Amino acid sequence: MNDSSFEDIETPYTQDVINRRSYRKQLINRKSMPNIAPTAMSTISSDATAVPNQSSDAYWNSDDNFTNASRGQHYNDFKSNQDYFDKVVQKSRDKRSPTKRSNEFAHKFNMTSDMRLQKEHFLKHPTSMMELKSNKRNSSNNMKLKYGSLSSREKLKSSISYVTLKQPRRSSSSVRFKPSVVNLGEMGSNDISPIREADDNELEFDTYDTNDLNDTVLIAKPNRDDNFLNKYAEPQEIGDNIEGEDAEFILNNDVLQPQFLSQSSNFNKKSLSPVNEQYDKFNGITRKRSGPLKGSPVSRIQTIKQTIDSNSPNTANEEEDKSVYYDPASKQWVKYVDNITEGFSDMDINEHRRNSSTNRKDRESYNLKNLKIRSNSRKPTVVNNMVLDEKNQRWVSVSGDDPDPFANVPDFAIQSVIKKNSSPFLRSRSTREDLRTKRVEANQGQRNYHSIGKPLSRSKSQVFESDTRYIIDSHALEKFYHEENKWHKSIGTWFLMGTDDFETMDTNGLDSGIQNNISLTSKDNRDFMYEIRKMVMNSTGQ
Amino acid sequence: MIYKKPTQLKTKPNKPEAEYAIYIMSPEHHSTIESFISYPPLLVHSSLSQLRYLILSEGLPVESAKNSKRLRCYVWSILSRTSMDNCTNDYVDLLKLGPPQSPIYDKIKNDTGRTLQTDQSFKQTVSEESLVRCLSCFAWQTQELENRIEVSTYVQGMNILLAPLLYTCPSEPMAFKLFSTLCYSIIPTYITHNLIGVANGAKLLDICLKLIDPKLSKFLSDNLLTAEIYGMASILTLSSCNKPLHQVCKLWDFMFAYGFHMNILFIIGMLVKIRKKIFNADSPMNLLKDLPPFDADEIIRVGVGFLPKIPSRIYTLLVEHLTNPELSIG
Repeated sequence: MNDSSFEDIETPYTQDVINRRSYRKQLINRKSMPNIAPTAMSTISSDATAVPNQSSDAYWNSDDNFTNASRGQHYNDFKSNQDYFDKVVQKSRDKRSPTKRSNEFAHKFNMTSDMRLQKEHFLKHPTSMMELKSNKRNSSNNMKLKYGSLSSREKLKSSISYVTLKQPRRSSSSVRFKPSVVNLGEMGSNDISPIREADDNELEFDTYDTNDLNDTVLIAKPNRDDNFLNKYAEPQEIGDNIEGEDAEFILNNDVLQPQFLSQSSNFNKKSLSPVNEQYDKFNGITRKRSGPLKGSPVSRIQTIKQTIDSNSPNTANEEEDKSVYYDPASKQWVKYVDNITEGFSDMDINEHRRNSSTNRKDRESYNLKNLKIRSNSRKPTVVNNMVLDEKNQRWVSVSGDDPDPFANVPDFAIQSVIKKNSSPFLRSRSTREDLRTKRVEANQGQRNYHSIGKPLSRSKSQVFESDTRYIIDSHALEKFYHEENKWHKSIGTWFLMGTDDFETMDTNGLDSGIQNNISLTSKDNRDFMYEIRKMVMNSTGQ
Repeated sequence: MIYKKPTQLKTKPNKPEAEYAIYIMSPEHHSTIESFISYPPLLVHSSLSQLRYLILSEGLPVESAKNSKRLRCYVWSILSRTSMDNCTNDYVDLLKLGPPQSPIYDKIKNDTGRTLQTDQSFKQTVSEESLVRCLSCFAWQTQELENRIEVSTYVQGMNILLAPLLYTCPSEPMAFKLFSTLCYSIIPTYITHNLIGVANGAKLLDICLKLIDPKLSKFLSDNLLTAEIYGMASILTLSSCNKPLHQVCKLWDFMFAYGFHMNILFIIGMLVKIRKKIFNADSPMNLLKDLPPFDADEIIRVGVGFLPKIPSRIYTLLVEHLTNPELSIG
């Protein structure tokens, strides 16, 4: 057992136990996570799990912490909330008032239930947003098989209302949405109208590859509202996928069309209060997908027009139009463009894009930060006699006389970054330094010129800008040392006896270091300059 | 000092004596000087004389091979008594100071970009950054010094003076060290604020030209072409402004050995070599400001040949004008 792998632990469980657990698990999760859009935290935790595949076994592994008692408790809770779901189903049915639709729904519900029983071992709990996404993709692929090619993912980002308004070539008969499969309207191809209402019988789940189906879809089936509620996962996805200009989704007036927002919000508020709380949370930031469409296209367009007329403000010009946004909570248009742009006025466009490309959570926090700044700009915050200086982003005293604790600290002088790395072929630098120091110390008594030399005005040099001309890389420096060493080996002996013949003059003004390394020619030692003349004169006999 | 014959000479059997001598003098075998300097001198003074004579008689190779350049650098180092001990540390210490003050730095940058740009071998060997670094270090070092002669931190022409050194020396610190010796010890009057050495050199050039080639001197003076007009560049840069650079290096071999005062005579030698062109030129100045490529051996031979015509007093002035700032030749 000690040597058994992680998979080995699962083997004692029979498939039956797994199936039963799977069903319980779904129930538990439906209780604990009632179709609320998964948070980023849940996504992260899911990613961190060591079980990347989607097999049912894998999911159950993570649920071993659940005790039977807790499962029972959750199951009881679920039972107690059955009425709640029934209400939701009932409301959903009421929305689709025709009896036929009720029958269709009942048929579909039964069919789904049957299939659930048959395929129960495939069911699993969507533990993360990532799985939701992948499952959604799988389901989309299945839809693709059924309805032809699907549209691109970008279309999923736009709202249904936007799609319906921007597709005038739909036939009146085709502008019908399958309420329980709301995404179909966005996934359709040009060849086959994606928005046509499919008969419930067409949704032959048996024909699907059930391995690719996810529990979310199947579990959502019995309750149409659940499927609708699943949409609340989409804004999170959109937010996660927003990049660059997609971030403008928040401010895009085209997207902020109010046609069904009020209805959907009403519907949400009436049907599911916990979800509405979550929905309201998002409402202030992003535009939510509207609820299922109803009625004929003509009537729906009229409805849209009426809704727009009743909700949209009388905009005199475009500028004013841009300066408002629709608040679904209050069902009013609110002016806010100044607030929005104010926070970005001083921002670099690249920075703005960079911030926009981050995930939704970061963006929210960023907007909140800007909101704080904006609020400060209007009403300076005073805390303990300190006021926030917006421009410099610092707290300053109200009285204005801030003592600078670093006033007397001089600026750090930029030093050259030249590195003196010694080569292994060379003599050790420390030895050289010691020798040089000893040499200087030995001559200390004789050198009264040491202080005579011009003081170096190095203060200017210390603030020189870092010029690459004056930076020697380590390779070149090693070459310098190498050549110097070579010189020592080759002709160093010519200088062992000293250069007394030549260095006898004019050293009074030299710095100690330089003086030792510069040979000066004395008058007495310019004899060699007459040497050639003597040779020539001697050879010519003069 | 007992000079040890190179081993290569021993490995040439059955060579007739004449051929043997030719072999020794052949330019591809410069192991004579190389071997000579590789042995420690017993007496520095006499060894230096021997080395000078070897340079006069054999000369150093003009190839641009790395070993040839290194040998030349070593010879220049020995002849100018420039020890390279600790040169890298000193150079880096000065380099740490960065660029010198603005006017000096601007002058340096203004000149370094134009340094021997027509010489492709120089451009491939020496970067402008090296020139800037060395000249900047020299400026800092000069500020530290309080020499008997007020040497300028930078004067126009120093970049050309530095060019053969950077071209020859295997490392920047060694070139900088030789440059320091050249400026502080060999030609300090050439780089003073008033360029008194160069002015005296120009006067001496006129005098020597008059002594050596009176006809040419008269022609030039009739055309109002004095040495101060046409010869300043060649005097200040020790003929390194003339091309080609490898011939300049060979000329410098001789001058490191026997003195840079010979530069005046070498300039006259270059003028004498093109005297016919000068006489026939519509604008002699155009010819003089851009002298044609020269052969160093020929110029040395001609220049040395002028020596008997130079009086002792003038020769002393030639020697003195390099280092004596109080000398004023009227």
